[in-house]
Amino acid sequence: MKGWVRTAFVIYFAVMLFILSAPWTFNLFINRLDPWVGPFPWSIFSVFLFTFMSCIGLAIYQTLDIQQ
Amino acid sequence: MREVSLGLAIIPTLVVLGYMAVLLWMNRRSYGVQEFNEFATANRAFGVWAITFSMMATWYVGASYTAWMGMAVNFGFVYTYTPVYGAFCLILLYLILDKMWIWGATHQLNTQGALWGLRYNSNKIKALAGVVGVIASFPWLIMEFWTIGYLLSHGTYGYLPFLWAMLIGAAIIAVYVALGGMRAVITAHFVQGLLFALGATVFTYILIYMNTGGFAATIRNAVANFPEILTYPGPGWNPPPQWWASIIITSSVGGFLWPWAMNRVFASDSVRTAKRATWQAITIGTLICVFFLFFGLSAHSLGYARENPQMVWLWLSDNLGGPVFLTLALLVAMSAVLSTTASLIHFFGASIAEDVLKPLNSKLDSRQATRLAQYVVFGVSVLAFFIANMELPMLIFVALLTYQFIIQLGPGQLLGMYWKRGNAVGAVAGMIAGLAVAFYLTYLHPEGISFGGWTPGVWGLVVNTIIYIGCGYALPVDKRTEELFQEVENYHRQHKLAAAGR
Repeated sequence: MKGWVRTAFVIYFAVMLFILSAPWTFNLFINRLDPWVGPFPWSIFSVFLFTFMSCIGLAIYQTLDIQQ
Repeated sequence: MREVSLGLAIIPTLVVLGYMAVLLWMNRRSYGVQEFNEFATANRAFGVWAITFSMMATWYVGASYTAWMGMAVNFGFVYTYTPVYGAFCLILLYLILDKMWIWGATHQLNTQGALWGLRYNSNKIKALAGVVGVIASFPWLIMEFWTIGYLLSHGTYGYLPFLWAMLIGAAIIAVYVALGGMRAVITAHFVQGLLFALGATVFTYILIYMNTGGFAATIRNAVANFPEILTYPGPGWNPPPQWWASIIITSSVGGFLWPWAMNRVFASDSVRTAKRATWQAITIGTLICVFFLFFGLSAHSLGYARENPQMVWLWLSDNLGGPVFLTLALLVAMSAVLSTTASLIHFFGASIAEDVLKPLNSKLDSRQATRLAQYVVFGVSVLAFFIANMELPMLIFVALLTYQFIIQLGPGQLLGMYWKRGNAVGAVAGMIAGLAVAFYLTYLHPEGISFGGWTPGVWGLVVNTIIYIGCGYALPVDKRTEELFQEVENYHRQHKLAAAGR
């Protein structure tokens, strides 16, 4: 795998973690009820959305990685 | 739990005892392990799904059904830190596991301490990393032993006393771990992990559906009656947002550093296996957390559940489906607790023999090391059994506190795998300084929230990282480290050539 692809994935994971946890963005991105997604409040929906996006990111990274 | 006749209580009792007997029987081919590599890593023999379920079975502790379930019931949204840290601790592990596996296979590494010893070229550092891992892990072993007693005793409506419940569970695990080593641990994990995953999703959904009518109905009920549970920090307390960030950082870094969890990589049959198992475990684990969170939100509507959050998993199962549901709930929870306990006591045996006793006695051969590891498994089990029987009201607090300290292995392990300039002086000085800062701030702020709303471990980690990087730039790169990194490049080059030739 090319070095820049690896770096891009590491940055992607760092951004996901920052959105999910950083106290400066937490109340802005995560900790609120609106907007509702179907019956689910944004708080719960967004945590699982970003966490699953991280899982999918790792799945893609892993696929590229083992094709090396 | 309610009082029932012996005729009803016998159902969960016999099923769980039968389950434990099956675990002993299915491991029969693993018994009689002689060589230390076989005991510690099963000679790196396991494939993708065995490692996937072993990772899950190890990471999801028995307390997921008591303490963490209680957190979901009482505080709701805060529980979602669990999938976040579960995912990111495995992502961190993924980022270093090719080097871990390659060095492990090349140099016959068995433990985290051995990895440190190789990377920093020092037996003293090997022993230090081993001892830090052992000390930080011991409260978890006590907590898991206690959880075995608690679950079994409540799950049998009190007919099996706490002491006997813990004794039976601990003895069975100690026997199959000591006799079968890593092969027995992972073979049992496959069944335990599968049962845990099915129970934590399908069975949990049935409970949610019967209690509040499904996911959407659970949310509607929460919005109508207790909306504060849907956002941070939940009812009854007010930690700052920095606390949320702190627990995610400490748990993510700490979660990938637990030596009894990361040594699954050494049991994988290839780098590819370890990598694929990691993302599979993350995805299934995150899914399980969705169900656990909704179970907590659903149970929050019941007064008894809010007052007895640790009991809610067994209590609600019994309430909704009687002894049959209670038996299923007990089987699922016991799978989680038995699997983690097996990983823990196996780690104590392997790590104390490899990281502490081998450097003290260089004449120790492979079979003698295995014998010592087996004695340690029994010794540690007996010690944890006695301590778990004492009055330990703050046990969960002590166990969570250990994250503040285990993360001090973080810079040495994570940066050390990528950065050649990372050296032994920086790793040890950073770790000691980080531990000192974490201890001192914990002493000043025993409630766990220190300067700026951050936890003591985070400040320790910051100091630790600065020292590690500073020492890296201050001292030259040693030749041995260059050779180690070259080994990894050579491995990849050889595999590329082999793939091109096929």
